[in-house]
Amino acid sequence: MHETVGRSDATVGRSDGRTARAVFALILLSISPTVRLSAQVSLQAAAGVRYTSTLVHDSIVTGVDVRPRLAPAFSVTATTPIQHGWAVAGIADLSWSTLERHDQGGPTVDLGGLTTLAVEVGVRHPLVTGLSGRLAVGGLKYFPGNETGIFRDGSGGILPLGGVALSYVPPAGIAQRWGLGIEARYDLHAFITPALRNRGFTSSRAVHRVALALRAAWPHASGQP
Amino acid sequence: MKRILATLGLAVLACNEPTPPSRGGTYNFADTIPPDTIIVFHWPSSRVPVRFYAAPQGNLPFLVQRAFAAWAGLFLYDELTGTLASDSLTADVIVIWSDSVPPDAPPDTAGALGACNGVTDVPTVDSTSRLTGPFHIQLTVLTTAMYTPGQVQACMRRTIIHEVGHSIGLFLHSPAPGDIMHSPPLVDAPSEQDRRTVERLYHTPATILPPP
Repeated sequence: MHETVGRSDATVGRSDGRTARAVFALILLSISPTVRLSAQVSLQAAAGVRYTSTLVHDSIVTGVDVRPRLAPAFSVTATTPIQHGWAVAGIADLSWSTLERHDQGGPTVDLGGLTTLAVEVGVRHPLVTGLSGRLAVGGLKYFPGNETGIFRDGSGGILPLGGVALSYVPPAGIAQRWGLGIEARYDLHAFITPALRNRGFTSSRAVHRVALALRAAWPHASGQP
Repeated sequence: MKRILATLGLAVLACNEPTPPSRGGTYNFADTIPPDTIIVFHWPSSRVPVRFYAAPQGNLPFLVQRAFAAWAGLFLYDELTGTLASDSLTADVIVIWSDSVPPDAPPDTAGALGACNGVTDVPTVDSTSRLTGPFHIQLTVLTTAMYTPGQVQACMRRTIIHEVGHSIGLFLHSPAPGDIMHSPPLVDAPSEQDRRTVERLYHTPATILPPP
């Protein structure tokens, strides 16, 4: 996206004193970043569905897997204009699901609600017309509905997260005007909780999350990355 | 860009499949009927929360709730949950005082051994390998020697945990004095071996089903 950068021009009369010029310059300096930011940043909202891989695999007589069900996923991304082929993006991502225990050869048991919130910063790069890619890193926090089981001693703080995303906005028509498109997101983090550590799990498990979402952008503009 | 990719790559490498902790070190929980009938019972996930009824006398509801929480808190995957039932007719486990109601007092573990007794009656099993009714637990204050109210309370706390252990499927006693399922119970809470045993029980296919 290429947008005009907002600028404030002002002329200071020679008759004004040095102090007045300095004060005015300070005001300009303090206002300018705000003006630039509001004019440059675009927002994208996305809603879709997320798959999360197994959080815990255990073996008690038979195999036990704990993982969230398919979950609704929502995200808001703030993106700067592209400069030298890259844009900076800040992402907030929320999803909530039901945690399930899968006993090998046995039942699937509901373990209660589970909400995740991830905040990331990254870079975005146009690939081909309408298609752009994003790399981001950040942190993810689990909010369990019940503080029992693997979350009995808490969720263990913020977990480092890294991810990639691909967005496609058709380069013409209504979709382009409204910034409508689709987005595929993948991220990875290492999962462990204090309760798991207390029970002898000595290392984290890599958890993969994949989300497919529909997205829209504000302001609606052409050339959305 | 390369740095970010390298970070992601390192994260993947750093997160190999972790090995589940060892769960060795258990005692036998399955009863047998000679020559070869093995009795394994646990409350299945379709029948939890287990409904406990505690006669509303003295601090029995508190003691029962505490005992059940001691067991339920051992599970990592919420295999066992329970609730206090207000009506004994709908309960899976009924707990009563057999005669006198001990006064509520701060527990005094010193010299508490022998101050009380507990018995769990396992319901009969019908031809479809299904239990026919609720478990019954009776608790008795022993009067063969003089015990303080605190000693009786300390005895009751550990005895109720022991008896609730039977009602959740630990039908046999542990040979280790450090386990709450040792008879008589000499400790105040389930041990690591109690935990490993009950975890193993709840992932072993049952041969006896709960009442409908």
